[in-house]
Amino acid sequence: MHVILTVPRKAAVRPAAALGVIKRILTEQGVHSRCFDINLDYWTTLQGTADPALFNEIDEFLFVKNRELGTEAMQIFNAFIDKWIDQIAQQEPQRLLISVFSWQAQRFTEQFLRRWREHNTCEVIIGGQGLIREENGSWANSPTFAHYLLAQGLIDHWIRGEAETTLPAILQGRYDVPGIDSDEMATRSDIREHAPMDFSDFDISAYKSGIATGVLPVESSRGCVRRCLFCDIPTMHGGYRSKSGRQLAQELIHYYDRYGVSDFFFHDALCNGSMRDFREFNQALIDFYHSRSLPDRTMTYSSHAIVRRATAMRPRDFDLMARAGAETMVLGVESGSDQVLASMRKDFTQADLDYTMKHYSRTGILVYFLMITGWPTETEQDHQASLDMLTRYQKYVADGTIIGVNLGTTLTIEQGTPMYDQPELVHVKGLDGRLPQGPDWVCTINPDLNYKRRIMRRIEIQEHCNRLGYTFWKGDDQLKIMMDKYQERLARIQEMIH
Amino acid sequence: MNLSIRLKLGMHFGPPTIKIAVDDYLLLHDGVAQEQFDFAVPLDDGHHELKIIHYGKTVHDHVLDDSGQILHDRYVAVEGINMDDVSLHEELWQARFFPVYMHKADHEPYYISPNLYLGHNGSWIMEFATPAISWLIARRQPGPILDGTIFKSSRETLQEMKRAFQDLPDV
Repeated sequence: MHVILTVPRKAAVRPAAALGVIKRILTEQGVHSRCFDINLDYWTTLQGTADPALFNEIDEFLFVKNRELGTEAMQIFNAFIDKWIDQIAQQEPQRLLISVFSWQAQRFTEQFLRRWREHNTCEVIIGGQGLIREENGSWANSPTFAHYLLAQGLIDHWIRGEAETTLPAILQGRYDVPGIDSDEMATRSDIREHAPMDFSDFDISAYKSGIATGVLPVESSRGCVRRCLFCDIPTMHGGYRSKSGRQLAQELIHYYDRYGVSDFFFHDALCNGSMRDFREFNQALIDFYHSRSLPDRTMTYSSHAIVRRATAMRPRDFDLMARAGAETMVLGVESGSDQVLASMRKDFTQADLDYTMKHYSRTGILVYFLMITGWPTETEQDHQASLDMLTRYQKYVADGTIIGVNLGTTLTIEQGTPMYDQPELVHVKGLDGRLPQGPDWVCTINPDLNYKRRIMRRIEIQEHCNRLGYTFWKGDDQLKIMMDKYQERLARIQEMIH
Repeated sequence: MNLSIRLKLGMHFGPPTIKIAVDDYLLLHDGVAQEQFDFAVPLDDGHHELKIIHYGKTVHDHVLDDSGQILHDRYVAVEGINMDDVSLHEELWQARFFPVYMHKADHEPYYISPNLYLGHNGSWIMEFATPAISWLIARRQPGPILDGTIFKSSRETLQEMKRAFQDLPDV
């Protein structure tokens, strides 16, 4: 028996794709396994029973670096972990596979493994984007958190990158393939050969998706067709590879038939990287509805998407999406300034976004905005352009098209991004003689844009969104993280002074 | 405010005549009805009333069949209204129509709501506020409710953090 875990902290809105992938691979290899979602239990049982203040203390402990737990919160937290350790130990696992979703899952993972190792000796393997300590990226030169856990004796191995090419080797007792216990990434698999994920261990309807039958994650592609300077997706996932439209549609139909789920979220970087495949996918869903005498939009899907020019994404494409079941598109809108968009190499303009928004609104497809404030070359006029864009798009809040804005924690420079490798592209240099990284950078042609100014612009945009009636997402978490980072930097400066 | 009004017209007895006014002093149209009106209405921020008045219909301007159902009618029906490019939906059904009855029976109401069909002469009145988009957002409360979730954004935290950052030195 192999046990597969997902741990806090992430939103408990659907099962984790990683677990569905791992279980599918294990089953294909003839290995019996069981998935447990501790994160879901964290957001249901623990949040539902613990005193709200104590739960908040535990929660902030997981994602705010400079927090420690008081005695009472520590007792609750440890009791929660011990409950799970007992449950997992009863399975007598041969291997424990833990998906560390992001840096926000690291503290729980470490605390969990410290207690697990006290009484259990089975092989522990971790994987996921949380193997690195970078907070705003999915890639780093080295999986430092994995190295740390190994040095602490808390894990036996890690998988860096895709499970498809590493897990079968591990099951054969081979740990010498790329991606295992090294900084090297796993060999990339052919996404067109992936079978559907296995979610048979999950109570899909138990997640907080707002949909009675629940939502499942789906993957349409890996990599990205664009090369935005701040993004590490191409480094992490390599060149763009997508499932064929028909293959993707068949996968959704499989989940619909097997689990009774009709709502899906694509967890990859974009669904419209290949317009040919995307059209084929939408048409295949419509054809499926027709073949079973089902209405349009029997299934729905939400996804990240790129903003395309009118010549690449025609009005008919939006119509097809709407009929197939497109629900919410997450758009990296980033800025209201064409100068900033060009500097980012976003490959679209405000005119393209205006066109895109018009057609999403027309076809009833919802949109969620991802924005970045404090781009190195962002001037006061550029910042004003972002405010003006939000004012201009207020009508799309009123008509229900825009369902949210996520501003992030201002521009940070992460390993694996073009701007990290070539900071001269945006005229940035690091502070104190170091390389530019995270929020620690200054732009030589825009030196007034210091970290505080970037944060104040971000706050100003959030206030503006509040005034206009936008639904703002993750603001509390992000503000606390920024304050944490800011105080870290102040402490570093004070150390240097003394 | 940009105001677009789409009407359906019962033309069997000739085109109906209407007045369109805001707050009873901004007369936007008076005369033969059209299927589409587009106005740029100068309005101060605040509460307002849009009024569509159907007038000029006579007792001869409708025909009933043997069962008392309307066979032909001179009427105006509100098909749609856009304010600042946003289409109104439920808001239209909140409006009230004050008919001028030609043969008022005891059971006939003082006003009819919900109603978009102006079969009688009378005034169809919809209350609204400007800025229209802000009014619509306040009414509709679009978007998901994130309180108590990992996604939440409270105004209190925002103000608290804003004050805290303002007090911190530049770095």
